[in-house]
Amino acid sequence: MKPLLLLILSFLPLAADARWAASYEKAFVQAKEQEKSVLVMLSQDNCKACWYMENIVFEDEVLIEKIEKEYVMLYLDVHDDDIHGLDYSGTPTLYFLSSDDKVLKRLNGVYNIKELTAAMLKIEKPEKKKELK
Amino acid sequence: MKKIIALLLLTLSLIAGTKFLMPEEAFMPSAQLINGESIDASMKLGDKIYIYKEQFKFTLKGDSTLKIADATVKNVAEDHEGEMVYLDDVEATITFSKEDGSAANETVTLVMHYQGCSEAGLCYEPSTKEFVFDITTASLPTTSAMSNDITKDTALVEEGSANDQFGASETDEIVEALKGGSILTILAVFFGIGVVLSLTPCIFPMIPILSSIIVSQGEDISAKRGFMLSLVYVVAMAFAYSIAGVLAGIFGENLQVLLQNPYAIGGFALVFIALALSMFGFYEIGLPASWQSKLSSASDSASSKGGFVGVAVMGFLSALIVGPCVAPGLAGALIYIGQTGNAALGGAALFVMSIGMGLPLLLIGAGAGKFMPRPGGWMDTLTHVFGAVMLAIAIWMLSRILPDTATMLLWAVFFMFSAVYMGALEPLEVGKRSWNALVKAMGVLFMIYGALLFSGALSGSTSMFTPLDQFTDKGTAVVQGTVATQTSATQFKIIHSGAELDAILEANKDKTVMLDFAAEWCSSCKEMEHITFADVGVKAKMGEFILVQADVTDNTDEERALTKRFGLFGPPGILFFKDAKEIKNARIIGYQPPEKFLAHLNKL
Repeated sequence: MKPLLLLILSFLPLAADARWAASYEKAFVQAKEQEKSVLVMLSQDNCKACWYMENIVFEDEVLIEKIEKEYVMLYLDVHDDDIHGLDYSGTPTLYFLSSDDKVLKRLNGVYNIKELTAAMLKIEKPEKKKELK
Repeated sequence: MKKIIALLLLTLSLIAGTKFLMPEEAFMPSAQLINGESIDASMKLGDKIYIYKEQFKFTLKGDSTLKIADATVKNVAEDHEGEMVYLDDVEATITFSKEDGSAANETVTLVMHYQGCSEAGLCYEPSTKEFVFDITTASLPTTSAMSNDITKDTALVEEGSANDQFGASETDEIVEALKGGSILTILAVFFGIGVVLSLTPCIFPMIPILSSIIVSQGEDISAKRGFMLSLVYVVAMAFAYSIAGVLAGIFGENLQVLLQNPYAIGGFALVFIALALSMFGFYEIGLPASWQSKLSSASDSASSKGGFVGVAVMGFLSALIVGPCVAPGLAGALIYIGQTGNAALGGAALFVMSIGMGLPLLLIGAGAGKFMPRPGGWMDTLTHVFGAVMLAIAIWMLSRILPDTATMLLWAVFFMFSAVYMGALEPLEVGKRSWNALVKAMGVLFMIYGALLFSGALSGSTSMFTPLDQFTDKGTAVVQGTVATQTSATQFKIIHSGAELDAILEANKDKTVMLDFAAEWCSSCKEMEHITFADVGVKAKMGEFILVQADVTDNTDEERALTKRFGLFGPPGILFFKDAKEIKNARIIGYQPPEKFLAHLNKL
């Protein structure tokens, strides 16, 4: 009974971690299906600011809820992953891309929760009229 | 007014977004030849730029006979929030060694490697700069006389140490655990699931099939051949399941998309409930009898051919026969694999799982059909436990779309029903204590926990771990939706600027000051506040500290300056000070549960 419970318990958090899309292609497929845009985070090792974005900002439930309404989230390591020609001068760099791969907005460097929330308000929605909440 | 603030924020964020130096402004490497035989290299750093000690190194490019004998950095690296870095312009001297065959003048290409970040929150690419010099080799020492060259030593430095820069933050540990052993862990978990599945009656139809093959091989079959036969059988079966795993990996994104849709979640939950009920024996799920018999006869005819190929075919077909029976476990596994979207991992995971499932079969094979697990009531019990787990998964899935209170009620019901099935309310039979007593005791615990959850849910609590928080002090003290600093529980002095902090530090030099960065828009700050700071033990311990809270809700220039002063990018963050200086390696970033936080406080 107990080992079984442990097994299942160790199994659930794995299944629950669906925040980041599995690949560049899949992110856009998903974005098209759900009529969303794609939020790309470019990251790398040895980057404290990236750590902060990943583990604090993109773990903030309230912010995540807002993001997931409009974006499919995609995490790319600039060294390990194919970043499909996205330009960057450093990391973290955030890209907001429409589902047909147009750059809606690029943000350089670290943003805390409040700053990112504010910056996102400024992004023009690709199809719908922009509405400030 | 609101508009003005919003505008202000936007401008601020714009400034923050554009004020980073370009890489060539941030790092200005240079090098010059000294006396024709050594090189003085320097790295001029831009404003607020630092570079990592471990990433700063020198190598030689091309096939020169010279080697780097030593690369001495004059600067002393500083501890910058757990990372050894150079904060000021760096200077280094590189000396060389030669080989016997070296010419009097050797051309070398010295490569300077570096990586660094801006304190403002941008990390640059690891980069290199090459310098070409003619080195006079006359007075250089020979390489063989030197021990290992320095480049090898520095190159050995492990990468990725930046990951623990904030010490033991909770998310960090989880992420690390997943990153570290992820694939092995996943495979191990799947293997475990397979072994457990093998103990269900599902595997039963396979036993006679396998036994019959082995027996058909003749009376005196060796244990080795018996084992080989069953191995082929099991691997073939595993292969069939692997195909399912690969497919789930490939078409995974659809599963993932589905999992965000309330109807799909509801549907899945229903499937799990249906599977659970079948495991409780209300009905049986399986292929239509006609298919099953066809498959059976197909595998029988395959077995008559004998040999390994026949066994392999049968193993493959057996997977189809048994598949529906192990469907619940399989479904869970496939959904998980779908989320990873990784076909290779999917295949590997299911392969490992089916090997686990085949473990008893391998044992049977090795015993050449002599040993068989005796079926009995325990197998049914195990099936029932699986049923319960299915129900738990259904509730977990529903928790994504149901209000928290409803989810909690479901859990309450789940635990109480399980308790009844475990015999919590029935008397123990005299003389049959041990196991029954254990199960009953667990049942009673389940019953109590279920009842607590039930009353918790009805009182409006949503916490599985503190279901009674609505009845206790701290629960009522929590002010909804604010950073609840005004509660009688924990009295923080609220500050908004560095000057205020300095005054407090100055006045409390003899005490330990705890500085908590928080904001209303920071969820993990609230968690910390409502759960960790509200804990009785933590509260008592925190009384020994001077408690200061930097409320950076408004993100004003002063608040930003205060945050940046400590190299933080924003809340959350808890820092400790003694003698007006920050205690090294003591800061906490991110949520920490009460026990952990208390342990941390006790260490200070």
